Amino acid sequence: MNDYSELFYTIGAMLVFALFTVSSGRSFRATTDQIIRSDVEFRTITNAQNEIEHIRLITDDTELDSTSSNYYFRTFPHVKTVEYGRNHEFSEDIILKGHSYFLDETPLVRRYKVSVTAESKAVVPKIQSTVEFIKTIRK
Amino acid sequence: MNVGLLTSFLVAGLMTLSIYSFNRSVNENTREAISGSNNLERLSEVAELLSNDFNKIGFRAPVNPINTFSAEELRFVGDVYNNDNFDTTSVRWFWDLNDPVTATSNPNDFYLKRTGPVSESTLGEIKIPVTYFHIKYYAGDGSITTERRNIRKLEVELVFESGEPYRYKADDTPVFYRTVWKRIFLPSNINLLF
Repeated sequence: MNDYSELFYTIGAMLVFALFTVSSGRSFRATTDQIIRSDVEFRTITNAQNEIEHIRLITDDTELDSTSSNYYFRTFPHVKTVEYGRNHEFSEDIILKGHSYFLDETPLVRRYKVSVTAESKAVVPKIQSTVEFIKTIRK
Repeated sequence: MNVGLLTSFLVAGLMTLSIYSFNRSVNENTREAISGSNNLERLSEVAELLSNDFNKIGFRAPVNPINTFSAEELRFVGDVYNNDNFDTTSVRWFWDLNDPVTATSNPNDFYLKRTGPVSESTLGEIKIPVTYFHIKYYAGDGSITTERRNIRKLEVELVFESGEPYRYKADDTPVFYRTVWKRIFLPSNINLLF
C-alpha cells in the first residue's frame, strides 16, 4: 500500500507542477501581448501624426470643407501600407480615417477641427489612435 | 530488475527535463519582455528629441537652413530650444557606420549621433545605438529631391534592436527584439505659409 501512496504523491506533484507551468506561461504571454500592443499603438499614433503634418500646411478652406470636391478626406477611409527596413522587409497595413468640421470664425481667421484616426489590425483586438488638431486659416 | 527503481529514474528524468524546459522558457520570456520594454522606452525618448529638432529646422535662422543632407546625415541650423542660452545653433544628426556599438553582442547596431544643445548652456553629442537610420527628402510636389533648396518634407525611419538576443533559433542564430518607427516632418520654417 505504501507504494501506491507514493505513486499518488508523485502524480499530485506533477499535476501541481503542470498547473504552475501553464499559469506562468499565460502570465508571460499576457505581458508579451501588452508590450506588442504598446509597440503597435505607438506606430498608429505616429501614422495619424503624419497625416496631421500635411494638414498643418493647408491654406485653402475648400480642403477642409466636407461638401467640396477638394476635400482633403474625400478618399478616406483608406488602407495605407507602410514599409520599414533597409530592403522594405517589414510592412504594416494602417487604416486611416479622418474628417474636419468648421468651428468658428473671427474677422481675420476661420478655425476647423480636424480629426485623424489610424487603425491597425495587426493585433487582436485592433488598436485605434485618434489625433485631433485645430487648423486656423487666414481669410 | 527492480521495476520500482527503474520507474523512479524514468519519472525523475522526465521531471528534470520538464523543469529544465520550463526554466529555459521563463528565461526567454523574461528577456523578451525586458527587451521589448527597453526598446519602446528608448524609441520614445529618441522620437521626442528628434521630433523637437526636426520641427525647428530653420526656426529663427537665415534662409536655406539645411547645410548638409544625405540618407544617414542631416545638418541644419535652428533655435531648437526656447529656454536655453543659445540662439540659432547648428544641429547634426548622423548615423556613423564607422562607429559600431561594441558594448553589445548585436553586430547590427551603430551609433546615431546627435550634436547640438544638450542643456541650457552646453553643446554636446548624444550617441544612440540603432540598427537603421534613414532620411528621405521631398520637394513641395511630393517628389524625391536632391536639391538642398527644394527640401520641404523629410521622412525619417528608425529601427531599434535590443543589444542582446532574447532567444536563439534552431541553427543558433540570435534573435533580437526589433522596434520600427517612421515619421514625416514638414517644418514650418521651410514651408513658408505667409
